[in-house]
Amino acid sequence: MTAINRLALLGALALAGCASVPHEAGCTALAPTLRYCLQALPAGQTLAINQLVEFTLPDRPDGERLVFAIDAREARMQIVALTPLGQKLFRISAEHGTLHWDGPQAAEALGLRLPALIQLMLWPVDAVRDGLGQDAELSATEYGRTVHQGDAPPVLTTRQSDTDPTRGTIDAVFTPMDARIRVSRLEE
Amino acid sequence: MKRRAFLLAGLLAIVPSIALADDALLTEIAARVANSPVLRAEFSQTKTLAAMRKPFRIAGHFTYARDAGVLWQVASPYAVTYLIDAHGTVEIGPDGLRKTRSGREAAGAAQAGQIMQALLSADLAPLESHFVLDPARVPDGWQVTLTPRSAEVARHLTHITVAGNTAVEQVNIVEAGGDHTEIRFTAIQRDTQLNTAEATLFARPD
Repeated sequence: MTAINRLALLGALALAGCASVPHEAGCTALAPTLRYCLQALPAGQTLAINQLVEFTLPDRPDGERLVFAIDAREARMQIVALTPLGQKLFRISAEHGTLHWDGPQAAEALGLRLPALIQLMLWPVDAVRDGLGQDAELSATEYGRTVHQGDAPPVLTTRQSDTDPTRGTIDAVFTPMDARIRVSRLEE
Repeated sequence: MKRRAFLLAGLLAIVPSIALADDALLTEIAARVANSPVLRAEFSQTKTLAAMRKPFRIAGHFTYARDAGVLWQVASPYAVTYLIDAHGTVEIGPDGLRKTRSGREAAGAAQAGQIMQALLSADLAPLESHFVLDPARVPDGWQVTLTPRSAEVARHLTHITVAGNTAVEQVNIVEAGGDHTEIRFTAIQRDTQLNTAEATLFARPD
């Protein structure tokens, strides 16, 4: 499996078993009965950052590293994935819930779920709660977030080094795939 | 009409001499760069992505070995090394762990590495089948603009500009989608062979 496919797989947030979940524009299935609908950033708030994303999966204990360039303003969001040497792998654009994929076709279906994962980790708590709707609950402290559904194990747990999740590092566990993710903001 | 025909004939007569002048300049550039067996430099790369406000920057050490390939040792903002040679691409982590890259990503990197190898040695002739080469003298030395010949490549790549004096000092890659990569080389050193540490990194375990 290539790095791009692994990344897309990770971004898919364990879509296995979700085929029966109907897709709405801008909404992504996180688990069989859990969706996240993309949210706009609050008016006047923008985000333009580069992040190093390192992740491991049970079958890839050595891990993979990629760079994400993220640029967002209100309901518009762009994500470009690069190798650590700067080679572009794919670009995802989201605008008012409409997603556009520019990259290898084989990774498209899974890669288009990445915006949801990024928003769960980085977007303001209220926006994430709106995106989860009634399907799940978001517990948030100053230094982390947990997405859970009833008494089931958490879908996603994050621990952040800064009260602002767009700064410092985030260590995340996506339970359904046993994926460990470390996100580090790249400073100039 | 006669006047136009005369002008056209004049232009056609000039074209071969322009081509000859270009060839002469390319030969001169290759001689000035004087392809060394080993070339070391510091590099800084800035990638400006279309519609993205924040450019992506990396910097580090670069080693070109004519017979072994290219080594990109990224030092900032993280540490990672890439070995690109005729066999493909290997990522070497800070812990020395090697991961062989395969598939589309690696094929692209290997192809880019081969082009980069030709660019850095200013041995541009092998690229002539794929690019139209347009050399020019500039105040600080020379520059060559490479424009893709095939529509297939032109769909992704607008042009590459290579510039320098006695070595390649700058490479600019302009992609059709609006992305732009600028690589600058400084503290350029020539050598006849790799040192032990470099030879270890270039070595491919069987």
